[in-house]
Amino acid sequence: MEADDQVVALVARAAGGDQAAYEALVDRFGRLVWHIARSCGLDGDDAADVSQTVWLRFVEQLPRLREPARAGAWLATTARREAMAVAHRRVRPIDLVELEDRGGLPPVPPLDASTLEADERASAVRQAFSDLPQWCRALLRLLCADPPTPYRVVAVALDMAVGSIGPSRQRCLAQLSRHPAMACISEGGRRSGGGMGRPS
Amino acid sequence: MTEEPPVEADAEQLPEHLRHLEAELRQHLAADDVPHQVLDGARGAWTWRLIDGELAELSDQEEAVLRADLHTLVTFATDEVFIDVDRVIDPSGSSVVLVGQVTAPSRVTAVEVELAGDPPRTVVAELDEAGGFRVTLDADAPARLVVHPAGGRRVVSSWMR
Repeated sequence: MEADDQVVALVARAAGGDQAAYEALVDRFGRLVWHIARSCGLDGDDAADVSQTVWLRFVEQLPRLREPARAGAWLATTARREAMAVAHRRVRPIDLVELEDRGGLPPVPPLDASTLEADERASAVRQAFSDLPQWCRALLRLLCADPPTPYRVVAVALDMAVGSIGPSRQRCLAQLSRHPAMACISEGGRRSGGGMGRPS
Repeated sequence: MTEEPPVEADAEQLPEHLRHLEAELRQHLAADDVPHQVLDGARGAWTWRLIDGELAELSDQEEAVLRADLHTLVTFATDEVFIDVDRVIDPSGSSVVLVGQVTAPSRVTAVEVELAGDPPRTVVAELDEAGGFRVTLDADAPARLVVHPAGGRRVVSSWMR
């Protein structure tokens, strides 16, 4: 049975009251909803809120879905819309008092040289990624999900043409590789003058 | 229909250094996998399945897009019942005030607000003579309105957050 047929069958069973079928849909699309919320710049708490709202609405709409094969696209669209609404109204400063109440920042464990190198590299990737334009972060996050998000779902989630996803993916990765943080870190974490990942 | 669009096939067409970089990014992002509590919450949404009522949906989809605002006016409607709600979120996010009016062909005396928080709970607001109500909620949990028109099926609104 192909993926679309499986989704159609699961939606039909869930709409008929089969909880196991609904949970199979959560297993299938739960990560997608989460990654879309996170790709809109929401923190973990807000992304969790968005996920809850999206699935409540999905349960509500299950008997009314006009195109069951597009359940993933429906979830993607709803997640994006909900996440953008939350992102718009959440301008929450870091609460230093709350942080202090929780005992401050966690202790930093001692690191050996190889850990430091790997850490430096990971830190560079993190920084470069966070400096990408929001749409690039959203695109790469969905494509790097496990399993990777199908192009047609990415297209719906990010309001892009399917044909533009491949070239955009390459452009975003190229921009990531050109970030100054990446340029001075070689693969394996060592600093280099030449810049890792630049096409020669 | 094809099963999967060519995500991996497309990756093979990337220059080698970008393919490696993407693999590295994938590793980095894997640390941000969906927490199991979030998936548990998604599974828990099933308990709110509407079995014995009529759904009142947003009467204007455009308004759904405007939910980004802290102050939103929406209308939920069935063929016969209309629930207008002015929803105001405190800027601190600590409380939500719902001020609304129920219009129905038969008498409705109260509106219930079901909150999908942890734990779930229900707040009841009496309607005034004009069908108006006002209720203050202390958390920004998903909420839906339930009314029981005399002699009719109960009417349940879509979820608001």
